[in-house]
Order: sequence, then structure tokens, then C-alpha cells
Amino acid sequence: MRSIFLSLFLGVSFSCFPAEVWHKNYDWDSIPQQFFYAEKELIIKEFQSIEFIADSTQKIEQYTLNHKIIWVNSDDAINRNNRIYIPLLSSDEIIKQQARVINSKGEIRVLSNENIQEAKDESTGSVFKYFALEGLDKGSHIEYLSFIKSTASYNGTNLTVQMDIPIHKFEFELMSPKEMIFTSKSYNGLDSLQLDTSIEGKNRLFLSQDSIDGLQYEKSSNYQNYLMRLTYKLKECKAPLYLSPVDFTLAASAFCSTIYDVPLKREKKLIKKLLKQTGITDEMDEQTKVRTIENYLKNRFSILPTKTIPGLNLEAMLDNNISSEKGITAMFALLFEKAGITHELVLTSDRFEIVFDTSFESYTVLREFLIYLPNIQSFLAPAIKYRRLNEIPSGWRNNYGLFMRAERSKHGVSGTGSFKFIPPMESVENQHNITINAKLDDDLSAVKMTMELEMTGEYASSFQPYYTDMDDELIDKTNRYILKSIIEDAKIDSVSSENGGVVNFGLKPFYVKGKMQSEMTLEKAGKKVLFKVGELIGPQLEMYLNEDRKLPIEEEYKRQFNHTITVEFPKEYTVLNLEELNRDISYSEDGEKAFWFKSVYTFEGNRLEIKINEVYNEMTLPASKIADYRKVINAAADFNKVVLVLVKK
Amino acid sequence: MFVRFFQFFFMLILSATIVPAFGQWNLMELQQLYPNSNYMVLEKIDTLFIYFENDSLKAKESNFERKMYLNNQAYQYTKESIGFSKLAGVQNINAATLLPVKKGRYKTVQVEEITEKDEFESGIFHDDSKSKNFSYPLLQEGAQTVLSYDRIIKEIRFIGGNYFAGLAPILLETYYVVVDKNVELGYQLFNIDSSAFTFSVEETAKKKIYKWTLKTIPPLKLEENSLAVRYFMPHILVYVKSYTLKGERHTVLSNLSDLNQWYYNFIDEVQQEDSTVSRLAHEITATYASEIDKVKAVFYWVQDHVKYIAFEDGYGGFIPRKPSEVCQKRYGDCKDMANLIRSMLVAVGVDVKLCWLGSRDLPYKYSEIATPAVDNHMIAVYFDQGKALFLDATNNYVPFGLPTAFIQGKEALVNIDSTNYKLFEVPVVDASINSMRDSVFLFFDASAKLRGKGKVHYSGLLRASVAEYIDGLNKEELIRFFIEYFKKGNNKFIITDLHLENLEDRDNDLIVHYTLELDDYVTTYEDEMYINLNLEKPFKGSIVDSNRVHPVENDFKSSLNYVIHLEIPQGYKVVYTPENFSFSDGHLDVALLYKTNSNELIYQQSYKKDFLLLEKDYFRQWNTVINSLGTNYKEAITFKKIE
Repeated sequence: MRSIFLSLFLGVSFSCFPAEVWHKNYDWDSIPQQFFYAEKELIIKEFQSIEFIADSTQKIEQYTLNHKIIWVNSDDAINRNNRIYIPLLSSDEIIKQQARVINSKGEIRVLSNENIQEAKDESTGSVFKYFALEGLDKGSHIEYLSFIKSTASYNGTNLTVQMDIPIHKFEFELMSPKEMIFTSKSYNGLDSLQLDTSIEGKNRLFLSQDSIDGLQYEKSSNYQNYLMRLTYKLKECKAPLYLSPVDFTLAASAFCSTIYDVPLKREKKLIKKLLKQTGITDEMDEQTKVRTIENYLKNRFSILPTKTIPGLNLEAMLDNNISSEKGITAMFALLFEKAGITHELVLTSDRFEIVFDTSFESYTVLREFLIYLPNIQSFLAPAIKYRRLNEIPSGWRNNYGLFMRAERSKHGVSGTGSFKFIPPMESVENQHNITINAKLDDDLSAVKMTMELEMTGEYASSFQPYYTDMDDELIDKTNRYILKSIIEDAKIDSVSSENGGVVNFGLKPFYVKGKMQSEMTLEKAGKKVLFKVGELIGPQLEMYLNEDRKLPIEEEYKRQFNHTITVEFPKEYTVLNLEELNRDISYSEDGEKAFWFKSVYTFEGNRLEIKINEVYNEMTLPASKIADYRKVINAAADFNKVVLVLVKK
Repeated sequence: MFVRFFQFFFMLILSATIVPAFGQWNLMELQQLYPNSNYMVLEKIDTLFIYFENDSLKAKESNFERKMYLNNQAYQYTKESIGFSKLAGVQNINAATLLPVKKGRYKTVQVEEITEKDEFESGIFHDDSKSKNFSYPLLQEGAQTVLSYDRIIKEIRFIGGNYFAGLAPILLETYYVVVDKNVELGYQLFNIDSSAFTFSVEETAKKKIYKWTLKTIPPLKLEENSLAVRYFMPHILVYVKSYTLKGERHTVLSNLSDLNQWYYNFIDEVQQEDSTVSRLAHEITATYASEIDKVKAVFYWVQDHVKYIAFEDGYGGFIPRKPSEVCQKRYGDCKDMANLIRSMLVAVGVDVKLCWLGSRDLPYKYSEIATPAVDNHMIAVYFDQGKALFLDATNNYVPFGLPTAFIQGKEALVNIDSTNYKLFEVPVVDASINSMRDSVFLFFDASAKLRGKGKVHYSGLLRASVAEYIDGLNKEELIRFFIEYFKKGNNKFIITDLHLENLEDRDNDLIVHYTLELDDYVTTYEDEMYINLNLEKPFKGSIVDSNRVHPVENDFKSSLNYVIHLEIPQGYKVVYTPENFSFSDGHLDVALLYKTNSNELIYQQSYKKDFLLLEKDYFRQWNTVINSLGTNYKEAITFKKIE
């Protein structure tokens, strides 16, 4: 009954294939093979084939075949795999979609078409197909096969192969008409694609690789960047097909043209008016002009999180105060141009998603909009509401980008592009500093203190900009939350913040100040008092587990911490083990200190002052240096454990 | 005929209320009244119509609301979404932004585009919930929005009711029920201070019009670990008791018997015997002689082999799937699992019933209101010599005989047959059953570092929650998990080795054996060593905010017991141990005990958390206890070198 139904389903769908689709008869084995593995979960086989076919009008269609067999052997693995979701676009056409479960006893259950659910969102055009797999037990195989026709994408596609579970066999192929010549690059130990010209009229690139290990996530790493992956793109195209291969020079020119080409007089007037509305004046220096324009545009316009909607209809944007990412980028560019502010457009990627590889041009890395201002050597993220000049997301830094300059001529706008490095911020720009003035209660039951927390750069970015849109109640709650993240048991008497608000972000440090007391930092052992002074700097990151390290260390940004703690002790007490407070741990590269943790104390009368300086001037380090890195990271966490012993004189 | 009445009535309401009621409000006044609100609801009118059409009873609801945006955060509320499903459709959506033009005058900008979206509800794999979505144009400070739509209620038993509160303040909310005179209406008010309400019933020739009005409703205050909103949100549930048509009276939800009978229709068909299920049930229970062992074997089989995947599509949300189908698919939702357990046990001659009940999120009781609003869950129940054992296999880890945490204390409607039912209360699991017992042996190694060996037992619902966390973890992941979960002493606490006992054996305690290292925990000065033996401080910082409004909810009662045996290091003696501490008041029992033997110091912490709800009246006392516990947590013992 079931098999009849299934063949009916396939019978109908095959009619959609053009004759020459290579895998049109591809199917799974009618009698599936069964394997046994000790692992809880792994991929037995994964085969992906992408074929480009030109239809009679020379339009290119993409056919993607996916065939995967998964081994599940634990409740957890079953729960992770028993629901399958397939995201599609409304323009995609499913030609074939089948799934079956071969349970531990070898019984086969094929998914019936009626059990495939669909969820649509009309506003985005996205479609989800989803289904639950039937009959799964421990020791089951899940086999899934899909064939999808979609709009062709050949300008750079990234395919991440490796994951946290092993893959026993991975096969990939890319097929195209002879006229379309593809090139690819494999990363992190994935084999390169080989060329096969034995099929008449087609080019075929392929790879087949056995035993791909699972790669586990490690903290302080760029995990995504070290997974085996490949990128492919169209390199060349011959007549009679006319497709543009990936070419950053052309891309730069085309991009500049879409941004700057404002042909209508009316629109030119609108730009002039908009510039006036921003409130910039000739007396302002360039940085102030840029910030003024940025504050105005980002305050006025809602930015829809979409890169695809062109949104370049200036009039509509100005009428509705709504813009797209590209739309607001264009407004920045046009206003800067009008105001005579030299600038370059930049397209880049977040290096924690995909690193910008300058040796293999591919449009997949052109994901994020940036504007570079060479006169003040600063970057601006036009499409992020809560970022400001220089304070761009740190994942976009320490990465390359395509920098573009527009050129106007009587024929219109063109542009030139080049790769340039987007440097990371220095540690001095990402600071998190605590100043505490503490006094021990006479009965030594609590520590009373005032605390001032100073944050800049990435440390301020999670709070300072959002204060613009928070009411007093939420601001108070957030201030308390920030102080409590340092002193967990703090009883806060009063709290305030300074320089909150997005207009101050990147310009002034953000401060949270409070008066509070802590009881848990004081302990008693008979007549002695134990003062856990190390806890006053708040819980520190630690890397105490000596696990083997595979991935290089990569942090999001360079950073530094400068703390000053003063403590006034009751006069009748002596502090016994002050020397515990002096610590100096560092790591040097080429004779220059790269990371360090240093704490120094002075003691006068009954007043103790501790100065702590913890600095990370590098953000990347090879995995082999993990011990050095741990030493410095853990030095701060070790300082947390400093306990001073107090005894009555 | 009716439709015209309905439209006319609705227009009347609108024209009667909007103009005079809003002339008096201006933006600045509202901003001053509600400085912490970004927007507010000026007026909300919901009207439920219950009427006859072609001799059948129908229900339809018309909703209207008008909001005003008080500051420049208006853009945040641009997107609006109205949910609907097969049983509650939505029609005639009308939405617009009213832009202030001149003093007191507004320009209307109509919403043009409305798109549809299939929604995913959390915890449910597939259902029929969808939404209509649109954006209000040009929202800005001082703008208003108006929204009206009709809801078509396909099942008369699901007419629901009305909630008189939201996340923003509401100036005026009115709920009308316009009902045919031949319909007998029932309703019940929840969390409503009747003095704040105005209520009236008006009669026309053919209709009865109920009207409830509430003014100046503050926004809901949501707090962490709090009861679900229905426990404190003012609301009304409305239901049809019966109706008379052509001289004949038909009951709908006149009492619990009606509800039982209606529900019975959903389960009648799927209660048939099934040979595959029967064969399997015999196989599973073959080796067990006693009835209770058979029940246990089937319950564990379903827990182990059927995964929870919920489908809720129209009436499919009420009708269990065929047991043989669930068995083959190896997945199902609560009612599928319940009915599978029932049919397997019936097949081997054990009498098991199905029952409906609400989770603790729902404040209702069948004995107070007999409508489908009371429940959202179905399980199987077995009577062990008259004692009801509730079999809820939706949690894979709960030991046999215990209910899941989220149904404790709830009333269950046990279906006997089409006309008979029984009400039972699901027991609240005793604190002593949900226990954690941890014992650690600590010593100083040759280089004076603190090392140790530990063993922790988990039972009851605590066992279930730990088992759920660690399911599927490999050894490395287990170690990482328990380092975080135990957090003993400081963050240098490391587990060097670990193994589990009885993870699969739900009838016995789950035991974790571990060896540990704890560096930089001991403070040493000259010839003395100080160690705080409160390696865990389970109630540290558990102070309840004195401004808190709602009670604190606890998932289940529990008892915790930590024992540390610390070997007295060679050449040292104990010169100071803190005082013992104990406290008991029925909510929380605490005992902290120090004892010194010839070569070891024993410290025991025991706690019993004996409540599901910590009421507001008790906050002050609770905080006093937590503060004294805090003081005791600060005490360290002292070793001194023997001279």
C-alpha cells in the first residue's frame, strides 16, 4: 500500500525534469544496507550534487540533489534527528523528497507524502517543509533524499561539510554545461575538487572523501572558520551562454552605480534638503559632521533587516521613515558626497561566520555594509542602529574587505575596488575598569563600598547605546544588574549611570556607579576574619580544565582591565597576608609583552590600595600556545581566590 | 436578518464611545499619567455573539481596540499579528494609523497589505495555528492605531471569554455578550474585584445583552518564577449551558457530565482493541505476574520507545491517534501516549482509564467550571487498590508511580464511560521522595592539596530532572556538566573521574560517583588553615524582593542533604568549628551540623523545601531565614599545627 503510494508520488514528480538532468533517475537502494556502529550518532554517507542546466531560453536552473544516511543510537540522537525541517524559498520547486527509517531490526518505514507539513510566510516568501520520522529506535538508520530545483546561484557558494559528529563518507559534485567553467577552493583539509570531462557536453567537478572526524567546539576560538568547507564559483563562461563570472572589479563598479546613481532632479533636491535637516555646519570638524549625520539618519529611519529589498526609492524612504540596509547605506553615501566628506564603501563579512578570503574572490563574503572615512581613518556601520562611528561589530574587524570608490563621469557612475585590511581596535579602546572604595564594618559583618564601573568599546556596546530607548525603571534595573554581575550578593543602596545613550557611544565612556554592601565577601574562622578581597573584581573568565586544544585561540577583540580597589580596615585589626596581593604573570612575543595580569598593593595606616592591570594586546594565538594563554587568563581567576586574614591587634 | 442587527449594533458601540470618550484625552496628559509606558490602549471593546443560524447555534466575536503611542518608541510596535486556527478563524480585519495633523484632528492611513503566516508554537511540532500580519504605517509619538476584526468560533464549547489586562495600560475595556434568549449562558469571573467593575444585563425582544466594563487597568506585572498570568489576571470565562430549539432543550456544558460525554466522543473510537498492540503488550508483560508490575513494564516501555512529538490540528488536538499507529511511528503527544498505555494494559487484562487535566499553568477546576478551558493535557490512570496512579509518559525520565511535576495537585477528570466519570486530585510528591544526598570524603594529598571522592544519590522528580539534563552526554561532557552543576567551593573545582549508576533503572536512585580536586580553596597563614565547609550554598542569595507582588512558584518539593567528611591533616588539630544551626517552620527546614571525630571532621547540611508556592505573607520570614543561613554560610573551620 505504502510503496504504491510512494511510486505514484515519484511518478508525478519526474515529469518536471528536463531530459538532460544527470541524476534524474537517482534513487536510494531498494534494499538498504545495514551497518552497526558503536557511536551514538554519525553520518554514514552524505552525497550532494549540484547541477546547472540551461533551458531553451538559456536561463540557468539549479538542481540540487541531497542524499544522506544518518546513524542514531541514543535517545538524544533520536530526539535530535526525528524532526526534519527544510527551509526553502517560495520560488524553489521540490522535485523529489523522500525519507525512510531502517530500524534496528531492519524494518523499513518510508515517509508518506501526506505526512510532510508545510509552513509559509507570505511576507518573506519563505517556505518550510517539515516532517517527523516514524519508527525510530536506537540503532536506526535515517535515510533522506531530496531533489530541489531553484534559482541558480553560481557567484560564490560556501558549503560547510564538517560538523561535530563524524562523517564516514562525503561525496560532492558540481555539474554544468561545458560552457560554464567553475573553480573551487577547499579549506581545512577537505580534498580539492577534481575535474571530470568524460561526460559529453558537461563539466563535472567532484570529490569523495572518507572518514571526516567530528570537530568539537572550543571556547575562545573561531570554530566556524576551522570546519572543513569549500567554496565554488563560476570562473568563466563561453558563448552561447552569457553569464557573468565572479569579478570584484565589475562588482565594485556595479555596486557604486546602484548606490550613487541618482538620476532625477527631484531626488537630488531631496538629498540637499536631507543634508540640511541633519544639522551639520561648515564649522564642524569631519568627525563631528559624520557623527551628526549618523545620529540623524539612524534616529529617523527604521532599518529593515534585509539585504535583498533594494529600497533605493529615496522618496518612499523619506515618506515612511523606513529603509533597508542597502537603502540607508545609500543615504549615508549620498549625504557624505554632498557634504564633501571623502569616503569609501566597503563590503565585508563577519569573520566568525566566514573569513574574507582575498585569494579566492567570491560574492558570498560580501555580506555586511561598511563605510570607511580615510581622513579620520574610521569605519562606520551604516545599517546597524545601535552602533556608531568606529564602534563597528568586532567580528567585521581583523578581516579584509572590498573597499570601493565611486567615479562620476558624464556616462554615469562607476567605481573601483581593492582589498584592504580592516584593523582590530587596540586594547585601550575596549576597556572594563572597576574602581572601588570599600570600608569594612566595625563588627566585620559587611563590606560597605562605592563602585564605579567604566566601560568603553565592546564592553559598553551591550548597554550604553540601548539606554536611549529605555525608560527610567528599566535603566535602574539594568544598572543594578550590571553592578550585581560584579558583586553577586550586593545590597545596593543607590545606583546611577552616566553617558548612557547611543549618541555618546564611542565618544564618551559609559559609567555605572553605585553605593552598596556585600556580606558574603567576609567570612569568619573563630576570632579571625577572612576577607575575600579577590572577589571584588567580579567573576573572571577561567580556563582551568586542561583539555587538549585543537583550535587556535581567537578572541573577538583586544581588551584591557584597569582596577583600583581601596579598602579601609578597622583600626584595631591587622591584615596578615598582604603579599598574596602582588602578582605578575605575563606572556611575551618577540620580546614584547602581549598579555599580562599584574596586581600591586600599597598599605598605609589602615588603608589598602590595590592596582590591577590586565591587558590582552593580541587576539589570536596558535593552539600550541594554549598553556601560556591559560596562565594569564587564569591569573585573573586566581586573583578571585585571594583571601586576606584579619586578626585583632 | 441577524447579520444586519449585528453590524448595526457594532456601529452603535463605535459611534457612541469613540467621539465623546476621546475628546478629553490629550497626549501630554497621558504621558504624565503613564511615564513608563510606550503606548496605551485607549479603548478595547470585545463583543461575543451567540445566535442561531439555520437551526444551529453559532458564535462569533467582534474585537475593536484603539491604541495611542506616547513616545518615540512607537516604531517598535509597527508590526501587528493576529493569530487564528481552524477552530477559531479570523475575518474582516480593518486596521489604520491615525496621524495627528492639527490639534485634535487626525489623518487616517489605512493598512493595505495583510499577509498570512503559518506559526510554530513552542513545544508543538505541528498545529494549525496561523497568523495575519501587517504593519501600521508611520507610527510616531502621538499617533493612534485602530484595529477591528471578527473571530469565527467554529465550536460552541470554545467560546472562551475575555481578559481584562495586557502589557500596556488600558483606559477602558468593555466586554459584551449578546446572546439569543433561547440560550442559557453560564459565566464565571476570575481575579475580579467586583467593586471595580460595572455589570449590566439588558434584554431586548430576542436578545440578552451582558455588559462588563472595567476602567483604568494597569499593565500586568510579570515576575520570574511566578504563577502563570491567569492566576492573577482579571478575566471572565463564558460558556453555553443549554439552549432551546423548537421547544426542545439541548444541553451543551450544563455540568461536568456534559463535558465528560462530549470528550467521550473523541476517545470512543480509538478505544477499540487492536491485535498488534495486544501482541506487543503481551510480549512486554509476559514475565510479570502481578498487575502492578505489568503496569510498570508498559509505562516504562512507552517512556523508552515513544518520543514526544505533538500534533494539534483542529479536532486532532483532542482525538488520540490509534494505538497501533503510535506504536509503529514511535512518536506521539500526550493523548497518544496515554491511550497507547491504556490500550496495551487493557489488552493484558488491566483496567486503565484515560483522564483529562490541566497543567499547573491553568488555575481552573472541573468542580468549579466544567468547560474545556480547564484542561490541556491527557494521561492514563491506574487504580492500585483504589489508589489512583497517574501514568504520564510525556516525560521520559519520571519514575513509575510519580506524576510529572507540572500536574501535581491538579484535578483530573477520569473517564469511566460515556455517562460516568470521577474526579481525582493528582498528588503533590513529598519532599522526602524528591531527594538529593551527596557525601564527600575530603583529604589533603602529599603536597597539601585538597582532594576527594564523592557520591551523590538522586531520587524522585529530582532524579528525573538530572537524568534529563545528562541524557546522551559522553564522559567528557558529563564531567563538564557536573563541574558546573555541583560548583563546589570555587571555580577551580574539578572532577577528575566520574561514573554513573542506575541511569536506566528508574526504580532506583541515580548515583553519580566522582573524584574531585579543589585548589586555592584553603586559606593558610603561618600555622593555621581556614576552610569554609559550605562547599555548596544552595540558598545563597535566595532573598525574595520585598516589592514582589506574586507568590514564588517551586516546580516540586525537595530535600537536599550534603555530608562532608574531612580528614584532619597529619600534625594538625581542630581549634575552631562554627556553631550548629537549625530552623524549621513547615516551609523550609534547615540543619547545619558540625561534628569532630578522632581523625575527621564531619559537616552536614540538610534542607527540606516543603512548598509549591511561597506566598507573599511569608516573604518576610523567608528572608529572615535566608539571611541567617547567609551568616552561617560565612563560617570557616580552623586547623592549627600541633606544636
